Amino acid sequence: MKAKSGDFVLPGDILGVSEEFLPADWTCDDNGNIKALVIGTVDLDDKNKRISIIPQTDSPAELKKGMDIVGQIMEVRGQRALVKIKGIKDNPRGLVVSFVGGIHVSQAQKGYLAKLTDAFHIGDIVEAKITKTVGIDSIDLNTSYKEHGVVKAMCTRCRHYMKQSGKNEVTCPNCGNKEKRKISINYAV
Amino acid sequence: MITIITLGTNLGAKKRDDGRAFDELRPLKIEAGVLERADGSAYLEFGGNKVLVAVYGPRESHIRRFQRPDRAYIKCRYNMAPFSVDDRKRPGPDRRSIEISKITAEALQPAIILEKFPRSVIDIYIEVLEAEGGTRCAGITAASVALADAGVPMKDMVVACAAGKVNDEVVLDLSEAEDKDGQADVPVAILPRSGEITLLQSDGNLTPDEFEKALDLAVKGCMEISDIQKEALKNRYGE
Repeated sequence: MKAKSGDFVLPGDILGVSEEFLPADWTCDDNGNIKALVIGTVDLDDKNKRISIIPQTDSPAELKKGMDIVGQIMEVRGQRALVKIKGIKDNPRGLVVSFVGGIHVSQAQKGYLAKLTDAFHIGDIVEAKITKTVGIDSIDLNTSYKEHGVVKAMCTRCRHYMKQSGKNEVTCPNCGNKEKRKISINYAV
Repeated sequence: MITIITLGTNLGAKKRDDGRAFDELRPLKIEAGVLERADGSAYLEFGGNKVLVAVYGPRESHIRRFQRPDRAYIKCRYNMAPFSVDDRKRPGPDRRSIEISKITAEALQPAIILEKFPRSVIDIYIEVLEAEGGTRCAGITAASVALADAGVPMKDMVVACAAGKVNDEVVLDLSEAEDKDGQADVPVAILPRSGEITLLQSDGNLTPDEFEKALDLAVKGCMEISDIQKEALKNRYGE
């Protein structure tokens, strides 16, 4: 079988031979035959001689540069906030394994930020964009866009979720504590 | 793994107790994507068997001993419902279901690209709602459809079918009565495109010739089931 762009394929369908194409996304080279690995449609890149599959199923969630993620702040160190990545935004499928990403102080907001604690605190739920992935364990995040940043802030005094009270300010409805955050336009409470 | 050569069989003439020819399968129906909250699922009816399979993952394994640094781990659970057989079955895992869980995971493993998901686990839950002989093969066939529905990368779809010996005749796809009264049972799972065998068990007494005949018959049955498997996925995702 020689596949054409747009052909519907099932796992194991032979798309061509390895002399014709390079196997790209969701394909593999099995003893010289290029096989489809998932249900989907063929995407043939004749210029680069690459063949890939556009999945029709919900595929297991993998992190890639440019994706928006949802996570929780684990730790705020001097120059870097560590985020436990919980999932990809608008993708109901959970992550294959949990990852920890980092937000550098220069990537937290547009303009100068003196202290990272003026943007994030432990327990905050944030939305961020992936700017770099090295291997599977080093992920750099950015929250400088208006749709990124804290979507749910946690009070450092009583651990209650806080209400937005200003552009960069949140107030705890439980204890009245006021704190600074880099707040997303999608702030939830 | 063994690559098999299919030999011709000429068994279509005579009939069995349930009216089937010796090389005839029971009626088979497969439906993919039946469970909303599972990542992938399938429902299969094979004669009197009714099997429901759910696949979750690949997802993070919270049990650290199941984590592999270089690949995913397949965790399979085959379970027969207490009402699936005539006499009530005591719920929970028993010797037989633990064995079938293990051989099912091992039968599916060669098809799945596990290296793509290090440190994760793929959970496969096979629930037998009604049993009428050949549930392990039905479970493997349905699990393969559910894995494809879950978007788990596979280099082929595993398909399983049994052959055996009843009244001194080698027959395909034993029913429960034939399994009980028969002389042998040979469940086989294969990767249909390459012909690789991923499961081969043999229970009972067969001569080498009969065994070869049974294996060929089972492979022929697998090929027929494979077409129905593909049809089920085409019905769900459209061509």
